[in-house]
Amino acid sequence: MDELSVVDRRHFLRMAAMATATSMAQARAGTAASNQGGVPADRNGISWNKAPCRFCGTGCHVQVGVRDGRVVAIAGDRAADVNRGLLCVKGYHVGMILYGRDRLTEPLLRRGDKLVSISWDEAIDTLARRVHADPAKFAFYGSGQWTIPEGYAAQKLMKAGLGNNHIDANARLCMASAVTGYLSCYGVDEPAGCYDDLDHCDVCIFWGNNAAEMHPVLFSRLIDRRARGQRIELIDIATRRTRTTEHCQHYLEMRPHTDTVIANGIAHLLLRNNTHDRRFVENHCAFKADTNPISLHGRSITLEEYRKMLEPYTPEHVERVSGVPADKIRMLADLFGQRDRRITSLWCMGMNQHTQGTAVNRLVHSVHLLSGHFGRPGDAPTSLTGQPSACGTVREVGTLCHLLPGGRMVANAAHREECERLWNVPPGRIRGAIGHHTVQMWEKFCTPTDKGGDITTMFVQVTNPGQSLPDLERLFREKRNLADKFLAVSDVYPTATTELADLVLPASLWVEKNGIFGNSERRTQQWFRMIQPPGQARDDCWMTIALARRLFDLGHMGMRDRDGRFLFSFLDDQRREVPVWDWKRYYDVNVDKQLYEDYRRFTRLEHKDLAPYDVLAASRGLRWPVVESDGAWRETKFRFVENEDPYVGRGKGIQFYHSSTRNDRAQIWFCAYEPPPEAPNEEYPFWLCTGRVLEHWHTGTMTRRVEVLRRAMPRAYVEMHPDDARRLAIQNGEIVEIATRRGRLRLPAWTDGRGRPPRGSLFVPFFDETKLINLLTLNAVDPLSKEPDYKKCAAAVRKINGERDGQRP
Amino acid sequence: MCSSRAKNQWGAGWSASMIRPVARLGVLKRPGVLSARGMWVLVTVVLTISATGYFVGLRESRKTSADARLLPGLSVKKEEDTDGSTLPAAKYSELSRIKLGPNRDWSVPLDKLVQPESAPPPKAPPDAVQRDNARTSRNERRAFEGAPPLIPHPTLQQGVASCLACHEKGMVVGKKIAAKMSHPAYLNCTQCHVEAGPESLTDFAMSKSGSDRAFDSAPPALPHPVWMRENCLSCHGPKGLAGLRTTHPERTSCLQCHAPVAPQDAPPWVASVSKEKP
Repeated sequence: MDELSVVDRRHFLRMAAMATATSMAQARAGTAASNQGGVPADRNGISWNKAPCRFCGTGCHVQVGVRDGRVVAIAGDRAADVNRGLLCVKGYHVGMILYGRDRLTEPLLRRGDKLVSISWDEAIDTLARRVHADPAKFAFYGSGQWTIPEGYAAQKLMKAGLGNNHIDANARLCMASAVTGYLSCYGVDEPAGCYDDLDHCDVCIFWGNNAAEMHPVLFSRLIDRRARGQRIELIDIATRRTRTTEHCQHYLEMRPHTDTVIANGIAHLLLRNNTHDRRFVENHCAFKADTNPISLHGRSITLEEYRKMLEPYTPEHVERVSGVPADKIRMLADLFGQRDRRITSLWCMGMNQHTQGTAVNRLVHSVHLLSGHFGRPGDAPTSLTGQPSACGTVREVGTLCHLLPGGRMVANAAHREECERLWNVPPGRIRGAIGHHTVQMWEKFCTPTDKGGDITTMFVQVTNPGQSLPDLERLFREKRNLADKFLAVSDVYPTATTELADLVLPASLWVEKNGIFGNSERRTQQWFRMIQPPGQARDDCWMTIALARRLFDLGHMGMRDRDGRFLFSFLDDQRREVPVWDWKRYYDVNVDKQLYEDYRRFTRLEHKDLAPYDVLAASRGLRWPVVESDGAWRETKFRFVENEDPYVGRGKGIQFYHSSTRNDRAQIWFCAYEPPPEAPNEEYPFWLCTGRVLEHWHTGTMTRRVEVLRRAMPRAYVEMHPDDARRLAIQNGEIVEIATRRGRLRLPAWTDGRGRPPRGSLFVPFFDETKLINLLTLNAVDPLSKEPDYKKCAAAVRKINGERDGQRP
Repeated sequence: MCSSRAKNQWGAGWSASMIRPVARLGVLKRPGVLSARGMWVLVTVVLTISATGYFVGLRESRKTSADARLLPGLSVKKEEDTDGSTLPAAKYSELSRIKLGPNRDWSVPLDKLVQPESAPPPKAPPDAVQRDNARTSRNERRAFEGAPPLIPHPTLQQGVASCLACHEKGMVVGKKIAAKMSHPAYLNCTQCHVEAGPESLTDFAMSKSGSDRAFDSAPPALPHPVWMRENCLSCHGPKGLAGLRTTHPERTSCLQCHAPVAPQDAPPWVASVSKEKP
């Protein structure tokens, strides 16, 4: 091998020119694998292009290295604001998710016990006929990993086409409580701050989330400030010690479910010590309390009533209920009482997957509003999202059973009328009754039709409910016994959901298609297709449009707009219609761009203006509202703040222009503590908490097929306190049986793991499809958000015959 | 001196037989009174006896303590034994913490371990075999060129102090190299580096062999982007793999001669400049 081979300048330039020419040709062909912000082919023949990472809600940008039609390398994108060239271990290996050995490559139909391969035409036809036979009993279950055009296409098909509101997404299981929290307090969804707050805060409080593992790039953004000599105080309020705790100055261990009490305790002290921000509260806030029955906007109360309601929440009471020492509560209240220190609160599933999720979200916002820690860089209550586009697709496009695009509500006649006009469909097309939310939808699907199970056909895209729903036996597996139910699943790999599917459709993944995601800080970011999908895999968006077209052919009137034309129409540069439902023609135009521009019109109502597609394509994402000023498109870093948010009136300072009380005020809430629906007792003496780990993303269907990640964390385990293990004579690594009232599971015990639960508490991650912990979890939902509580139920541990786990857990 | 008072005290006690022979010596001027010579003799005797007594006394006390050991019943207040041959007994409450055994005095922090003498820098660039070995051992730990290396040894699940103990400054222990971090100190180590076994990974996108030289003796261009590898010496310095070591570690301004040609290192205005007509 010639080690000193000379690569001369001519050769290098030739390679670079070839790459540019290829990309230009592709751009003309509409596949548009353009080098927007990318680099020409390097010495290894790899050409690089930008894309947002496929995984979590942080929304890091990566540079994807492609060679010979394959993704071969990944690098952090240094031009991206979010991550500035850094990634986490999942992000570094995200390119490898495309190449698992058992990638789905052809449509499959279940005949008898087996799945046999069929043609796409037959697959779409089968599904369309099912839907056409009984459109009102059809439900569409989507995902926070849907791209914005995919979600929008499904939304339009269901709400504007079929007049059917049974469309919901898996973000119901993770972000719904954050949504109701934001709506209750600010009248509009999504964080007002952004990741810039992390660079300016003096104190960051983690409310029940393990950011070191779950949002690692954001977490290291905080702790690396220390390496630059800055002082930052980190506080971990949690039910168990995690890797996050190691880096925090304060660890407040609370009993499960008692975060509401802690927040109320802080508010109580702020009022008692008179350290709340009187001016901020007088100028910008109003008070609310719950009604009976509970409702999203409650009832207005006065400051005095609020003070009275908080009276019982003395530090001593808080200590009794939550287990956090009273002086730590006082410490928190003192912190919030200091105006000159900037405090950011971050939370995720600990607060959202909670039967009092809406309440605790409201209370944490209220603590920030009451103490005036809002509206300056570093002062922000921010809910982080878990999925790459839970914000961009589910929350903003409104792919939930009660929403319309742009924050509009199905139940609001004026909103329906406006959407009918924008979609150009006949008045009355959109149904006014709210559809089934996720848990309800699956309950109905798993109930016999003659016993009220009014969903008979389900289309699942880009998600794995067979592993992620709570109480799996009842909400999913029951389908086995119901012959007349039809489950169609679009996915990239066989999953726990495809196990019971009647129709399996192979889908394109990530950079095999164009896409747009929206991350936790309101940043909408776009990417172009870079490689071809394998076998016969096709885009999810195409599947939805093809289904709509087949229904149109079968004569369903809903597929026509007011002028009798097909609901999904795409024009080329000469304004001629392109039949994109024919896969060969799908990439003749940029379907993503046209759907996105169609959807953009809806975003003005709640001032969530999105930038034009081409502006997004040239950037590393932009934070809405993006408005044009002086010919340039300007993003918004901090909402509701004058000079940052273009919609705040001059001289207003801070203006909550979507206030639910219509007076530009945010709402400070009082919510009482309510005990959890299931707590440990004699028979089931442990708390069982479920969650995630760094190496695997959600149900692990992608990450467990990446060798590095699978070897780093091969399977699930149960974390247990060493004293409990000793008491039960369980050794580290021994297989034990965990049981709840709903099921039982065998797992290796880990007593010195990366998470250290307190005595009487267990933790199990849910990424392992061979260990379905959701067979054991509780199906109890928050009354307003309908989000289930995966974090608390009662469990028992049993030592079995002394089996030892030969491998390290 | 033999004052009259003393003489009176003892005079009666002394037998006459003592005085007569002493008087014959000439130390007494007359019975009971010392002459000058006598005085000198007396002083010499007293001093001699004192000195002798002092030195004998010193010997005596050592002898006494040895006796005490042989006679355990003897309650003698013993001083600290400083020759190290016996261990002081520890309090029971501290017994579990006290280090006993042959390496009880070992409290050397890891970074003060005596490092092996690193071989002097190679006189010529490494040969093909060495480079291949270096590349193989690097590739074993990386999913692709540019991926964060996997951790080939068990680690503590929590905390980063144990990572920094070896990787903050780099360390060589026998044949094992713990490379100094090639990137700035990011403190959430396990965010990017995870433990995985030593089996080799499927080849994903590894770098080509060699590096670009414009002509035979030209300094090779940097074959990889500089990002995350800002500290050149962590891989190419004295604690690097044999196949990667530079012949000139004393020159620390590496980018002065070795050009970063990876497209990722191009300044942001390169693309727009190259489009301009000259």
